[in-house]
Amino acid sequence: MTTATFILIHLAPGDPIGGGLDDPRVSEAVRAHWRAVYGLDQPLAVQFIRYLAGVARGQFGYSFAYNESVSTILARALPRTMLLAGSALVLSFVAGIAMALIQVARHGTATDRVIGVASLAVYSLPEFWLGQVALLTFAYVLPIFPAGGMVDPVMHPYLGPLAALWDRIDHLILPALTLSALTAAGIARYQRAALLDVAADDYLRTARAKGVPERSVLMRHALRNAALPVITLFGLALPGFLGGTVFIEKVFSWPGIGSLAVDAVTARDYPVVIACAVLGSMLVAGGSFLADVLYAVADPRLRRAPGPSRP
Amino acid sequence: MTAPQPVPAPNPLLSIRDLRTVFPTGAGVARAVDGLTLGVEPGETLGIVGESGSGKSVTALSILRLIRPPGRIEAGSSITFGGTDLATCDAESLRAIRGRRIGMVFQEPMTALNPVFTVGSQIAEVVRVHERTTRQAAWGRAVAMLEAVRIPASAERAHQYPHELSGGTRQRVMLAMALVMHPALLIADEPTTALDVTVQAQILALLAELQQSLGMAVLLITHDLAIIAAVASRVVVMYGGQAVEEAPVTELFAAAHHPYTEGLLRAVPRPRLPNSPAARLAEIPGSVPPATAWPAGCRFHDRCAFAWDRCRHEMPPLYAISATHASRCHLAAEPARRTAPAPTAGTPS
Amino acid sequence: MTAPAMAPPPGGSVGTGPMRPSGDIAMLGWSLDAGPWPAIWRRFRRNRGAMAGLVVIVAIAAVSLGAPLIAPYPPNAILDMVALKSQAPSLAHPFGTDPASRDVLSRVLFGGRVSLAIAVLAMLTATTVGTMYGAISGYTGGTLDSVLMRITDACLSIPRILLLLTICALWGRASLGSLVLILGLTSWFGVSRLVRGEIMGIRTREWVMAARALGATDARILFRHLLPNIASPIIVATALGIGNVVLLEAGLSFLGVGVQPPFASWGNIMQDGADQVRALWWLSVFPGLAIVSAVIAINAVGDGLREAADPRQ
Repeated sequence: MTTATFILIHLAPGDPIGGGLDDPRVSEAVRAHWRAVYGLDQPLAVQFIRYLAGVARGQFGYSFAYNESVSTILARALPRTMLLAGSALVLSFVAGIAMALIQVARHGTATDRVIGVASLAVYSLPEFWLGQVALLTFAYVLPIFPAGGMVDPVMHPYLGPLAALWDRIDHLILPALTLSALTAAGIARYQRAALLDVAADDYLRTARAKGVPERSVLMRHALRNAALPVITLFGLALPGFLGGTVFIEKVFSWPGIGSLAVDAVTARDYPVVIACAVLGSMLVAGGSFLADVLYAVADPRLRRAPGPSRP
Repeated sequence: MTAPQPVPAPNPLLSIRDLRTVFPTGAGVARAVDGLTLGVEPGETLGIVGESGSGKSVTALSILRLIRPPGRIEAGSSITFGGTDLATCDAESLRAIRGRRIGMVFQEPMTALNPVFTVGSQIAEVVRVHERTTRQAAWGRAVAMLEAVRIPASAERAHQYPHELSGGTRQRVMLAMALVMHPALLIADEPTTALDVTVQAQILALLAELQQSLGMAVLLITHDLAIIAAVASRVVVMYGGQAVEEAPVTELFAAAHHPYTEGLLRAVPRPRLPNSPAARLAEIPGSVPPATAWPAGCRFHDRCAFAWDRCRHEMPPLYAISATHASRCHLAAEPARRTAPAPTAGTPS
Repeated sequence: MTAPAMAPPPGGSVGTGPMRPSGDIAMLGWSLDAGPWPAIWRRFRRNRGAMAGLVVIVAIAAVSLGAPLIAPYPPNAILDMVALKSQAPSLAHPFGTDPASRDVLSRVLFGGRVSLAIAVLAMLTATTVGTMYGAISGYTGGTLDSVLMRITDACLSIPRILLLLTICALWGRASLGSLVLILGLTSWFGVSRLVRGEIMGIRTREWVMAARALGATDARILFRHLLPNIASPIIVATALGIGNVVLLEAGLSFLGVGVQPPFASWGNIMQDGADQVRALWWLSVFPGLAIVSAVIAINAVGDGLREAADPRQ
């Protein structure tokens, strides 16, 4: 990914140093000076190695629009994105799995079909549109939630600690709900299929023969086995989920990585754009790794046996 | 001699009357068990034997109502156990009996055990769903039970997952799970079919021993007459979803009445004694017809060497051969036909 | 062709393989009135949801194509910057007007042409690239295959929208043509995986061996024998991909890096009102509804095709 963006940046028309210096009124001497400052006068290979070394140290270069190092900007935006995306992920898994459990417990009934159609419909919605409609409905028509932002722009600094915490939560609920609605719909569809898949497995019959209540058969024995494909889904769906976060942040003016990336594109602040893309890929890689670890935890067959193991 | 009545059961622990379990399929309704009546006495071992497709496994599953929808037990069937009709009682009464009063062991221990839980927790779970007890106490009972089924180092083994155990050990775990509540009845559905022969013998010996010490009745379902001979006291032979012969095990092996049972016995390979004649291993011609289309009359008639017109039109009742022996064959009413097999019959279509 | 193992593959025309006279396009097996397609169409027609989707998507395509005839105003006509600026929906302007006093209904109609055309062309590009890539990977196998698939895996793991943002940012103001290219060249990874898998599944069948024994070249085996046999999964993936690209283009345009003025697209109409969702709600709701109905319809058709093409599922 790092390599790809580096190549792209140099294939692109114009100098990566951006609009300001392309102005014909800027003298060649000034341009050369700034190129030297940013190392752009060096051969490409040198630039590339420097860039890689920088990324490895967590340095993504310098933002021309913010006049700050990109790492500083990212360090500020990343926790905000993690807060929004993290809570939305947790919400969507809880809601998606709950929906699937209800569907399977009521398999073939009207409840099953209604949830199925609803999740299919939500699944096809564009994030930004759902975000705007949620904003219109729950912030303007029914003013239940604040209309975007992370905290109250005026009052927040003057609130007590509890009120300030509530202010943050209050601003988090609507974007997190909207973001999770889409993912939850996907998870519900997938989890339902996975549960129906294990429904015919022998160990469920064993559990029933032991006198385990039907509720535990579903919630304990079936769910624990059907969780495995959903953990895989978590790794696969992460890129799309981060994409959704970009739109939701934009629509709800949430100042995270997504908003940062979009604003940087508009401002043609390349180092920031690229850093966001690299960071996004790193988040996905981290998420996939986490999914693998979770999978191994959830499936004892992938764990190394502590005692003498047999084939 | 020819009175069409089932063998009376003096004081049954489990009494199945006119069980009919059906499965709707694309090709019509499969009548897997079709009017089965049998009783299990306290402490005895009743064997049910038959080919695959005879309805024996469906019978086992029907007792605990484990038939997967759309399969169902038809109205009019009754399965009485300790004064409760398992075929019709509410889900909670049934649940209280499953695992506590009636234990069950399945054929394939690999798939019958949940792969994501330790074997100890799967045994302890039985205790926890039937008794108000602490986690530790239930775990202790599980470990003790693993010891009782002769699993060495049971305290460590309890922490292992099914895939870490050998097939024989897994089946011992299944036994421990079925017996941890000291049930009055154990249903064992082909408990040794998936195992090596030596392991098979060990499991059967263990089963017999535990039956002695716990004083429970066993309903043993198998296709293997050798196993029946080894552990059962009474046998029900099933064919076409019905009981076709019922007798004490010694009587069945000494004097089988139904041609199907005779066929089964002839199909068993046995070690030849030095002075015995070389017996050719015989097989029963044809195969079990599909449960969606049982033949009219006697369900065995198109595979039977003795069949005559009556067999093709009239379903035979269970004829009493003696006080403890019954057979669903018209030969009981017309014994003379046994000596002269009809030359045209016996060839399967 | 007597042994059961030599039974013709589902692709129909290639079943008779090397014996068939060559020359026309039907030869390639892509003909729609031969092979499995009549049966697929018969099953598709019985699927009510898919048929409804087909009707909706044909209707949307028709009004978009007919936009110059139907639309009350040209898409960029500034009607009256003072009197008709940011008007809420009314009889004269059913979808309202935007801050530049343009009629939103007309813009949505014209925007449909742009959005749908981009999506179809981009997905055709993606299918072509993905099919070639996947076919080469699957047919060759070995080290090349694992390298090529490692690359697609890496590409699949980059959040698509961040990748597109980066490319669009570096590209500058993308023309419609470049946008088709950008979207097309970032949407083929899934198709290539699919094609590779399908090719792997059939490349060792007896009729392929037979063709090779008769001296067919690799290219001929690939294009004449293998690809026609996997036409239906490719077409299904393309149909489903179009819905996805509609969403991607709308998203990019919504963020201001997709379709650029003077062209209207569903996404950039929404962008015109993005800062004032409350005041200019009609700029979000109507183009949004157009996107949603088009995408749901396309997905319904795609799902219907998949079920019709693979009745086992």
